Amino acid sequence: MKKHIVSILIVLLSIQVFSQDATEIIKKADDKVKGSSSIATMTMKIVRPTWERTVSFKTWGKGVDYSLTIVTAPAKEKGQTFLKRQNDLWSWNPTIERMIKLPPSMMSQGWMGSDYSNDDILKESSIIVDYKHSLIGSENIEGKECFKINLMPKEDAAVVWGSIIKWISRDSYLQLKTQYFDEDETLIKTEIASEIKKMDDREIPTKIEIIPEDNKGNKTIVTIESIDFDVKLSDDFFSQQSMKKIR
Amino acid sequence: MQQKLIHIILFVLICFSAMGQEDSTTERIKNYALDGYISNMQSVMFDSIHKNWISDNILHNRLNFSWLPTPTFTATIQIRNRFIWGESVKYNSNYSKQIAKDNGYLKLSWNVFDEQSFVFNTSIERAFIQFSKGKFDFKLGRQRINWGQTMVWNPNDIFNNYSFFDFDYIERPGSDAFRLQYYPSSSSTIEFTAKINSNKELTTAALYRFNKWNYDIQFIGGLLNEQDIFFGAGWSGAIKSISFRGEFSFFQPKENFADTSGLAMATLSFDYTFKNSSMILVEGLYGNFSNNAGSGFMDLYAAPASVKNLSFTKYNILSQYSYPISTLVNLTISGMYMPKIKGYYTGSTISISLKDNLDISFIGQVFSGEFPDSVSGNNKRVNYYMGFLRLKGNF
Repeated sequence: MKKHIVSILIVLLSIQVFSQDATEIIKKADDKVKGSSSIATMTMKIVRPTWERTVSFKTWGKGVDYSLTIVTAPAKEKGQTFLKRQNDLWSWNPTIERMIKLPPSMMSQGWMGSDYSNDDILKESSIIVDYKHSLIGSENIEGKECFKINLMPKEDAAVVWGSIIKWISRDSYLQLKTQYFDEDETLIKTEIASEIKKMDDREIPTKIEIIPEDNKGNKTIVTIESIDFDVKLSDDFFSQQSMKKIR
Repeated sequence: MQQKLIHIILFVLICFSAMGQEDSTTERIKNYALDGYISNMQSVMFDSIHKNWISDNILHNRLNFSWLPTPTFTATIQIRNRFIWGESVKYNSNYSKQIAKDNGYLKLSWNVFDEQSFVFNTSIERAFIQFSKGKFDFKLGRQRINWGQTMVWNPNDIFNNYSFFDFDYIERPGSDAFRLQYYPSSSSTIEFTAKINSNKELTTAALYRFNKWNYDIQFIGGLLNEQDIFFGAGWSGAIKSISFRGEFSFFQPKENFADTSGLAMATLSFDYTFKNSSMILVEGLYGNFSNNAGSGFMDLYAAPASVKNLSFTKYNILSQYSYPISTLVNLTISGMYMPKIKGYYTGSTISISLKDNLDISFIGQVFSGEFPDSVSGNNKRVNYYMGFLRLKGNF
């Protein structure tokens, strides 16, 4: 009997250790691509069976609360900026000189017609804070041994997904693959990261392919052209005044 | 003639330098920026499909140039060129005069060519300098001041007069103004503005906008064209995930301040974006527009003379649904109802992205309503049908 209790305790303990491990791994992986703040220039290519469109932008981010994004291409959308401060979201359109407060329902929309959502771009939710993490296995992705981690949203978290599975490399904590599921556990989209390059002070994947499940042949490719981590940005930088001036 | 030649050479030069610009992506290290568009639009208008069609063509080019020598100083100039030919030019003797109209203090719109069958107009749409010092921005010259919060009618947008129907001129005319903006926090603004129009009438106004309870809230007040004392308020926020915006303004002639001749206008606007990215917008306008009898729909189409002429009927309601059929194809359908004239407007637009910087649009507009007949005085139904085909390239 005592033996049983001990073994149950060990199992319980190890589960706890496991879950702590999983959170720790997610944290390290998240830090790796985010840092406390960053400035990045990126290109997003929307690929469909018969055509392609490209959007380029530059984005400043600080934690999960602050981000500022300017569209640099195509010409028609160039100069439009988006500001997120906590739960408020604005867009500035220089053509009509107008600041527009965007509703929360805009968050989960495909960003500028891509398979990337506003939530991804503007970092509405945090994979650390808003989800419970558990290590569910170990798999090999493109020759790299990876932790397989399941993310379940916390009850009060306002997130878009029903669950997420991430494959994170054991040696360098890179998120090489992510699958997003809806509330009915149906796979919605898969993200595959590749082309690991040195950016600023660290090596990260610079190409992320987002492949939606329901439309074969469709994908969105995000390429990180440059990124600087842990840049000094004050909270005040993320302002309506900056939205109108940033270049 | 020499002046005309210089105009043409400038136009061509700027067009070419803009073309060379196209594939350069390292804009941010440059201290200047040049962009714009060129479009060609064919239009037809008729009141009965069986009768006379009036067809016109506009070759339309906009050039936006900014010089940014230091982070605190900007100079901007924007030019609009239009080459128009067709039956409106030929048969409406007043047409070219309307094209050259400039409501600003400075007359910066010229008909370089004004012939029987065509008109070529160049106008300077923006010309301003901006200084920044900490949380202060100071802007002087022809500029767009946009204080609107709702999407169709804007009683708070006192510097500009927006015609919702004129889809080919989203930038709107500028105001010859001085403007001081102060940003007390990251999401609030205080503005002081003085504008002077072509009648040398001064408009002075102030705005305070701040963010509270996840709403943008603004208060405005001032003196419009040295005639009307006005005040108003506007907001943008959300009820659950439905956007909720509104504006109201009240104008009272300074001369008869005590009487009840004031004009009150208010808009309420709701929009919602669905999971499939389609969007629905419903907006209503109320105004006690007692003086605007309304001579016809063309009043509605031309930009109203003043913010006080947003409509000619007391109640107006517009509903619009836009649906991205695919990333490349967007469909927009809108309908407007004006009870007083038993009138309606319906519009539909299909826009197709042909390339990264090239779009084609098909636009149809129908206006119908009852207006007093100029001879008999009896109400008579008037219909207008308009169709447009536009090819637009941005650079």
